[in-house]
Amino acid sequence: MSARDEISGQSKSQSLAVDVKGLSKHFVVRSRKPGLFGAITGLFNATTNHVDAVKSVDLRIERGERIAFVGPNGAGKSTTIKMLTGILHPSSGEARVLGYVPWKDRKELGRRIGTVFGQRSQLWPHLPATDTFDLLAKVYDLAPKAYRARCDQLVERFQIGELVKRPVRGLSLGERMRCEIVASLLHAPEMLFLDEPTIGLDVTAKAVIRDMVKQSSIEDGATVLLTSHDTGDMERVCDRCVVIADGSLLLDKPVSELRSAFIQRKLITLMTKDAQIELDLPGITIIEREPYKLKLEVETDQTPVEAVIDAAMRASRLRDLTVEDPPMEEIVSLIYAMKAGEE
Amino acid sequence: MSTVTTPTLALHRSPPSAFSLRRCAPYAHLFVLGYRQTMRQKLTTLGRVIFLAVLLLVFSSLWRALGEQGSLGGVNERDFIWYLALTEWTALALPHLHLLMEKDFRSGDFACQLPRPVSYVWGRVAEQIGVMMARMAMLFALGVPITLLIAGGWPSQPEGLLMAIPLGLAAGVVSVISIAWVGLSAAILQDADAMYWLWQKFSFLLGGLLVPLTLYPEWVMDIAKYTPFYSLLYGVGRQALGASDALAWATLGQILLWGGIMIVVTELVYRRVLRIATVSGG
Repeated sequence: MSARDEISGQSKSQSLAVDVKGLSKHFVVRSRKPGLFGAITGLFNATTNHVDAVKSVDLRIERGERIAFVGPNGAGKSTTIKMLTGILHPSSGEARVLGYVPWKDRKELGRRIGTVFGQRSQLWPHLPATDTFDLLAKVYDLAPKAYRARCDQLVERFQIGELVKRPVRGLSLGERMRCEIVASLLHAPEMLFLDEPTIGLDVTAKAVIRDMVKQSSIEDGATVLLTSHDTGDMERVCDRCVVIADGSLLLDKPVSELRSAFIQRKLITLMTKDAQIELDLPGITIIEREPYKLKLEVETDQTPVEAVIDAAMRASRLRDLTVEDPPMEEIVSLIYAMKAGEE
Repeated sequence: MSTVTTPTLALHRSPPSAFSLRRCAPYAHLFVLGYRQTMRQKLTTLGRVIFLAVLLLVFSSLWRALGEQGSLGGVNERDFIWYLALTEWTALALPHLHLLMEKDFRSGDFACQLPRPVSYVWGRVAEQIGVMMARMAMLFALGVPITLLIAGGWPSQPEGLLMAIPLGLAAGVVSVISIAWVGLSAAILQDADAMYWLWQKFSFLLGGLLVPLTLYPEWVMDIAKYTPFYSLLYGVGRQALGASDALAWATLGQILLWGGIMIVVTELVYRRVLRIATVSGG
């Protein structure tokens, strides 16, 4: 039995966390000609354009699944999340989240989901995070003793014991994001919507957030829907990946399959003690060489990342090292190419 | 409501009854947070106190000059200074809620707050009433000795000041609610500034911020009586001019009446804004 079930004292009543059929959203965007003349004529004769942000999306998510909802900027990820959390009404289609129709039962659903929007803060900047936690306990009408125990548990799990006592404005982005996620988990939501939770974070902070979100979801048994255009979020947190581009679903596969099909390439940057080093390994392409710096593209099916680092450490002492995933835009292009090939 | 089986969480308490005070708990907590956050920003409030002192100094000189010419309609200049102190106390404590809301709409923060099971607008109002109360407390604590010093004594009927406290607090609450619907207009008009500018200027003019309405032409006073500003500013200030208890109670009644109207208007505007935001994305 998961932590979530222990909290609820009941087993899950429905197997589907999200059931979406033909969900679409289009926006009407007004445009006018530039300049004063355009502004005046625009008052009487504004041109309107229809923008299809989401086009007939079908999606089913089982309870307890961790789904990465990925795609390039402007793909429709955030619009879909907004419809699933009841913030936006769809233009057409049906959706049920935890059995609720989000745009009809927004407040009821709100009690059972948690949301983190990466670039927005729900914490009060001039006050310690504990003050916001106490507020959220009132917002979600939590029993005081159970709330205190839950809060202590999350503070320990996310290692923010010292951070929660300091005013939020004094925290780093990574520290603040840990507090944000704890804030969204306080009421033990059955489903967690994370919209770009690692945006703007450095490599270490990203790794910490990813591990903690995954661990928390496992312990609480919460379903996770995570949007990102960072393939690292998808690989390290989720089991299944749904790729969206231009408002349509492109692919829905387990992360392991997606990794073997599309994410075999890694970009490795080595900062070395020696001005020049040579690495003779299969599947490696040097894409940038400068004194004390080497940037490589590695085909991981031919040479794993560990082998490259091993070889680099034998060739020289390393001052710094970064391993990057290929950008989401590249993966989407590969998926398009694969689909075109299939057709 | 769609059909769904809702498990009761031990962490969650059983739903409160329709009239339970527990429904107000989040708003009460937001009020406290707003109050505490403002109490930490003492320098900002000190700036307001300095502004109040400068204003009182300038206008006390003016009232004295006019008093010597017998142009104050039979009211002594000390009462005038206390009148000004009371109206400014009410006006200076008001938070810029409209700017906060405009920022929420522009940045998208408004939409992100919607999944929470509390009303965005009443949450903001509660928080900003907390801000206003903190400012009023600090302005009152520092403003009274400053006014005493500048005016050279208490007003001719000092008991009016006691009545001005609850009236000022009530007027402040209603003013914050009024600014809320001005702020909400940003979601419709793209900008709250124009609406706020109108609201503020009418408030100063028809509320008699600097000059008691008794000195206005009669027809202006007649118009002012039918606006909320009459009770929200002048109603508070006139307690320094020797208003009777009956008049004070009448003012409180007017403030509460306008409060009720503002609550209805704000809720209606909010519903309209919600419709716009959830359909067009704000």
